[in-house]
Amino acid sequence: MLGKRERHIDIETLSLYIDRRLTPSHHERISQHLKHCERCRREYESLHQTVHLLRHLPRVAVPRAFTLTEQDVRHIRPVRGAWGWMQWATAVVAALLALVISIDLFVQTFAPASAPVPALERPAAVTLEVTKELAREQVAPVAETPLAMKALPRQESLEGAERGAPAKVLPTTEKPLPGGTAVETPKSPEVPTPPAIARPNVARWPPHRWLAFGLAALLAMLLIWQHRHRTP
Amino acid sequence: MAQQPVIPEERLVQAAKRGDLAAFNELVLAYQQQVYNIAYRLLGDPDAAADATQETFIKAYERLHQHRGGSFRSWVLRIVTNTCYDVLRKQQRYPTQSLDNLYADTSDREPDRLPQWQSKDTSPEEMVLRHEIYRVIQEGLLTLSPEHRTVIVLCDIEGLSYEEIAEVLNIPVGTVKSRLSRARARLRDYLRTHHAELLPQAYRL
Repeated sequence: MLGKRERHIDIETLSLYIDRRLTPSHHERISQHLKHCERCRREYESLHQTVHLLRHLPRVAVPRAFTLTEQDVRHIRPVRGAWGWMQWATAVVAALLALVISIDLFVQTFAPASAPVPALERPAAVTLEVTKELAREQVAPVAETPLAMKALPRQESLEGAERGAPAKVLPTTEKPLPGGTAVETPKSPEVPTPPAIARPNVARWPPHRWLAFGLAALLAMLLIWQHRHRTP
Repeated sequence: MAQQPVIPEERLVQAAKRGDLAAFNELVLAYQQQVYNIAYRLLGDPDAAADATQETFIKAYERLHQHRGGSFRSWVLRIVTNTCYDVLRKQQRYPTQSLDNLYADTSDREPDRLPQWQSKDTSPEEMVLRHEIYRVIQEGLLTLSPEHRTVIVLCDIEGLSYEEIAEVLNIPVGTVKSRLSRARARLRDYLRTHHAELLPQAYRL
């Protein structure tokens, strides 16, 4: 509806009107308003003239071709972003290194043939169970262990308790039990354990450790090479 | 507008990403006129525009791996507008340079060619007049802020849609609309103030 106090059109709406970006009904309302509003019509026409001039500006000719020469792109690596042999080699070496280290650690944990196991503290109850095990096997295995102390079977200890002798828990052996896992026993002052940490003896390194060392060195070289040749 | 290359653009882009310089140069030939025109209208100087155009295509080649699908044109135009923004920002720190651009007598180096669609029976007076109008419009553009100048160049001179402009400049469409309307109003005010006599002529072009 056309009212006397109808507002004048803002420049953004006029701009959209020029570009025909208004809804058809809105566009029609504006057209109607422009028919009878002098002020808005002048505004519209000057804006429209400006846009018209801009739209008819001629294209400026390029002064020369802007194609690139080999010289221009010399500083850019040939394979950008995509993985070349360098990246693949680094990834493979890193993966192998991780694998070899894992194997090394695995071997260390479950088969400590090359390194002595440091003595650990264990709750007394566990050792009690172990001594019970020992008692059930004949006395002979206990006697075989050179550094073994006498293991008191539970019954004897109970009898001992009756007699007032306390049930003592003593360290039994450092060697792995027959059919059992390695026993970690509390240290006793009478049993000197060999030093837990030996000096790393490179001559006795297993072959996979040499392999790990070699892979780590190779990986370091590849990474340094890539860093030197990275794209600016 | 930019000529379309004979080989599908996507194939050229893929080849260029694999290091095929010849394929990349096909893209350069397709886009160089548009890129140069945008740079010229934004910077107002043919030498600066040439430098910006060269820099745009070198950057585009360097960063090809960053273009992951979508409009290659928008991607290239974004590089040229950002390159020009950097130049303009540097100019603002040394304002005397931009004044030289504005007032120097560049008539001997005027790159604005008279349009090819000009008919044979255009009088010399009309040719001079049109030439004058083009020069004045470029002057008016240089009085706008970089943001206003860019939207008006992309929309009214290069014919990009609001949506394409939003993609190139990485701004919402609403911002494009409001910026464009204000830019047009400012340029209109400049023409009305300095060259009012030109405005009625415009309709005869």
